[in-house]
Amino acid sequence: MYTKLKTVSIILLLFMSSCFCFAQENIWLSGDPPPQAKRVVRPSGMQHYMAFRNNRGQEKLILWPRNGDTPKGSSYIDSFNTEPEIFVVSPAGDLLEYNLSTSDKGFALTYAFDLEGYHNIYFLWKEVRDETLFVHVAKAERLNHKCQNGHRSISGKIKVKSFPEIVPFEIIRNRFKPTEDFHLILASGNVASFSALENNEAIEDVEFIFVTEKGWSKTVNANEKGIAEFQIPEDYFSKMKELNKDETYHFLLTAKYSNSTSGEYQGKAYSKISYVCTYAGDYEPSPSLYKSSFWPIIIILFSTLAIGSFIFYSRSKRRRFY
Amino acid sequence: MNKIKHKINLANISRFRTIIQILSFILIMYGGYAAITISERIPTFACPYATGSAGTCYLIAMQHGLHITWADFASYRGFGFYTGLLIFLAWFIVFNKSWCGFVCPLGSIQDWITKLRKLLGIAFTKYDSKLFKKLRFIKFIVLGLLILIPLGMSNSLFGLPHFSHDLGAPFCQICPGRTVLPLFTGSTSELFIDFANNTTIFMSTLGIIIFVTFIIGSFFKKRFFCFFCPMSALQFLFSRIGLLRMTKVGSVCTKCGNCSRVCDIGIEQIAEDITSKFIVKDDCMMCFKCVEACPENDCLKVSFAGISILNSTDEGFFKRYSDSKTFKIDTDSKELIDQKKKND
Amino acid sequence: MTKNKSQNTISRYERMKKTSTVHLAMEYAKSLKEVVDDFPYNPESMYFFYDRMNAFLDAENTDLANKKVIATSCIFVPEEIIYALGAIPLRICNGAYSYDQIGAEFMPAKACPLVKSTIGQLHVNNFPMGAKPQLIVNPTSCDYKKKMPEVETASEIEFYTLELPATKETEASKSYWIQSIDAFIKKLEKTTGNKLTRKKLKEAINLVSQAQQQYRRLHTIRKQGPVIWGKDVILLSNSYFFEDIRKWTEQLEKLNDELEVRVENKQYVVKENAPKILLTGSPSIFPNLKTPVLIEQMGGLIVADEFCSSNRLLYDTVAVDEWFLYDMIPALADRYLKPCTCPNLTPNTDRDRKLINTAKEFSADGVIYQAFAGCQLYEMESLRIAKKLEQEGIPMLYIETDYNPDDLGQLSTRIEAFLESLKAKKSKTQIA
Repeated sequence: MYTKLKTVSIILLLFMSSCFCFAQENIWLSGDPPPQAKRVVRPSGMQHYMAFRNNRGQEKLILWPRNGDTPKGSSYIDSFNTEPEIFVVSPAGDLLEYNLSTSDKGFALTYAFDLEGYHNIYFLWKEVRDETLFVHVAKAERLNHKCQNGHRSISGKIKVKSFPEIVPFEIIRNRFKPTEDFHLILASGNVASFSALENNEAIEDVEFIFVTEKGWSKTVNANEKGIAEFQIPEDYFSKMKELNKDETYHFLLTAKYSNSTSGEYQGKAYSKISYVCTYAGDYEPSPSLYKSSFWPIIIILFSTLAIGSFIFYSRSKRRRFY
Repeated sequence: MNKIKHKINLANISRFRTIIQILSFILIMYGGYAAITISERIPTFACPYATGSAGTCYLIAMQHGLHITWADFASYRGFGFYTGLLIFLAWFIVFNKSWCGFVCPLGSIQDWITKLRKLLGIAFTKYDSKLFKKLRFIKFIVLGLLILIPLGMSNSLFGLPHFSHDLGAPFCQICPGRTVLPLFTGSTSELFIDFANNTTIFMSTLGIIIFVTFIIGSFFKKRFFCFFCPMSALQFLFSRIGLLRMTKVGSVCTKCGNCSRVCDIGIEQIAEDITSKFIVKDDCMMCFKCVEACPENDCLKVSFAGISILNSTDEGFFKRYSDSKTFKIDTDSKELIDQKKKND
Repeated sequence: MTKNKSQNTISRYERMKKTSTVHLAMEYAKSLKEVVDDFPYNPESMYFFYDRMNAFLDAENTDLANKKVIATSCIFVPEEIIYALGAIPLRICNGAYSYDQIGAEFMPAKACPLVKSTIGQLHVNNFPMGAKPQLIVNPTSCDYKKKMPEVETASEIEFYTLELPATKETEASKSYWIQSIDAFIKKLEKTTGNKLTRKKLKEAINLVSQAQQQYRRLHTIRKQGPVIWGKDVILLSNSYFFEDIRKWTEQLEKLNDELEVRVENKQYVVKENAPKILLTGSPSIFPNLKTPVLIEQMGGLIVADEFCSSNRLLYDTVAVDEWFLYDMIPALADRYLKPCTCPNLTPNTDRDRKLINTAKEFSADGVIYQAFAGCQLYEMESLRIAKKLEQEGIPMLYIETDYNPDDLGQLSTRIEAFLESLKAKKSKTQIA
């Protein structure tokens, strides 16, 4: 019995480690700090990003690469099997310096977060195996906004930016037009729209797998315009009293696509390309859970009545002179 | 130069003020649609919750700016707060408290509600002086809370635990500007009750009640809300250094009370105080109605950076407050009396 | 026996009425002669006012005979309300010595001559221009006035007591005063049979405001140079008591125009170095212009006064924010109480400030404080005022007088000495 268990566990371990070897596809970029870093960094800004200031007052943003299929079930890693190429692109389109290392903040990517607008971060793996070019992209988008800088020229600053010269394949979140502003945080109930770009062109028939915090998943193929839409579900059922409207959950979106393009990469020829891109985002409980527009009417009526009768009473009590 | 001054002294300042109020209301409420941004720290209620707002009220920036730890006050974030305060002061010093009397959209709305009441001929309410003296401290309490609560969110005040983040920008949550001003851009989205937790329920309900109080209150009391406005209190702290000034020569004053009678807030001190030179009181909004109503030559004076721009004159007073056209009152003549006798 | 007695009293009353009319005519003629003929450079436009003083006795002038007239015995009565209710206010404060003598029968010997004179006038029932007042509005502004309605005279006109607060500083006094005004309006509405309306009251406020405007203009002119005698200003102010307000305003405007020309041409009635006097205290009312005339005969010039019968008469203004009764009536009430410097109010520090400010504004060299024998309020305040003025370096002369012309000699000596000292002081400072 015992030996049997042992062999099973060894087989399992072997299986898992072999999985690990080929599981670069599952790496995604999370904004949530690992438990040991939670005391070191704290969220700042309206988007609950993990940012901090260094000694010189420069603001830095941190991202943690994680491995797993569901946001909740993913583990924090402390090294890569295959080192990725890393690109941090500023809102202006310049490549920024970054630092990927293990520290008291965990194994994390840190970069300067000073410019206003969307920063794009890419981890890119390319590999030719079995005459197939595997391209894996882990992407994150981070908006830097300070209210003190004002709220003008929104459309320019929140515009989607893609970088085909850096990554051949990436997921973009299509912006809500015209309502999207600097303070948008997706909430349950919102219909989020995504596209996958190959060389800056939205392509159809891309398989999108949308996984919520707790592992609910849905697969959608992009339509003829290259758009896949997901209504963000509510996968948490807390009692009203326990509801935290500022709780952020993560969703993990994976796009898969392959085509038969032949070529050569690092001296190895391939006849097929297989793309995988991961994109993680945040969502909050829906405001309709806790915001009521009906109760104000009742309160308005009641307070009108109360204040009105108070004024009527105090005015009738007062001696009036014409 | 003297001729121009003479003309200004005779001018109808209230009409001028109404025009400025309408123009600045349009600019501040809808300027954002034309991509106008005046500043993110203007000393008046330019509410960012209203989508077209051309600028942001300093109170919201101040509440955000104070949401930092004590240590941060010596750092970059503290620096942000200080520069913000300086920008606010730069705007404020130029026009002093006349931001309230001439620019504030919420103040203008109250003035228009007053005009509506006048049209209906309903008598206004005035606080008696005892109540007045008690109530005027409210705005300082509100200002104190508005400073302490954000500080208490990032620091432990008096050994208390950190306040809930639901109290972020606490004044905005109860400010009638947040609920009223978006209505002028056609949005009722700020009229909600937030049931997320007890704090949000309390704050949002208070916000709605204050919204109702604002509308009813300003119907019966001129400039009802300004009396409790923390911006007014904040401005008062710096009003001595303003370039625009209003001064009083106490020895000329006869205490006739014309000034306090026409005062929308109902400040009695402006008539009673015969010793202070700087007559801008904490509730004053520098609308200069008192200067208009003062019949004593050079008793009340308005100056900008030392240059006198408006003085009270009896000539100006009579021009504004007496109408030579209605010079036709008639006493009962003999015929009328006879007629009445016949009727009896 | 009783019949005989009553016959006797009636005949005595008739006799008194007759003689008082004769005496009054003589007094008026004498006073007018002093005021008009003894002075040079009287403005042309002043003759209207001189003539109107004569008309007071003119039995043929019956302008007011058929009008609703409300008599007032003090400055505290809001005349705007009387105008708004379609009646004409007639101030019956009197300065006639002949009436003073009649009134002496009803009052203690040391009582105020002004009240005695008014009572005398009421007793003989003689009003200018054939007026028959329907009501006498009598504010409780001093003890004598308070008791006036209780004095039984031959007059059958009803008294209405307008209650005054003892102070103007407290909230209670303000509400007391406005309640008092409120009751007054109701009474007056009943008397006149008219209802107070917004439009009428606004017109009335405007009407008085026009007069105020001209009156204030006169004082602005007086500040610019000695173009008019002080006795003329006191006289024309007295004529406001009974004159039709519109006619009075028109004539005053004419006078102002004339005086403005004088200012431009520097046509002064006295040399510029003549001692300038600020007159204050118990009011001089025509024909009792003894003190002002004496001062100016002695070479002084009254630049301003602080009498409730002249400078204070039309000085304080009404500012209304919302032209409805709810704002106009409190505004009116404020006009009569808040800036008032009547010594019946306590504390009355406003009077100190007002006197000092007036003296400075009109560049007066000295103050002459006139108190009628028996006018305790003004008598009592004189010491305090003297002290306050001394602190400011303004000399003050206190004189006690009444309507009796007997003290002329003594008065003239004192006034002359005071004026001489002012002159000496002036020339000293000029040399220095």
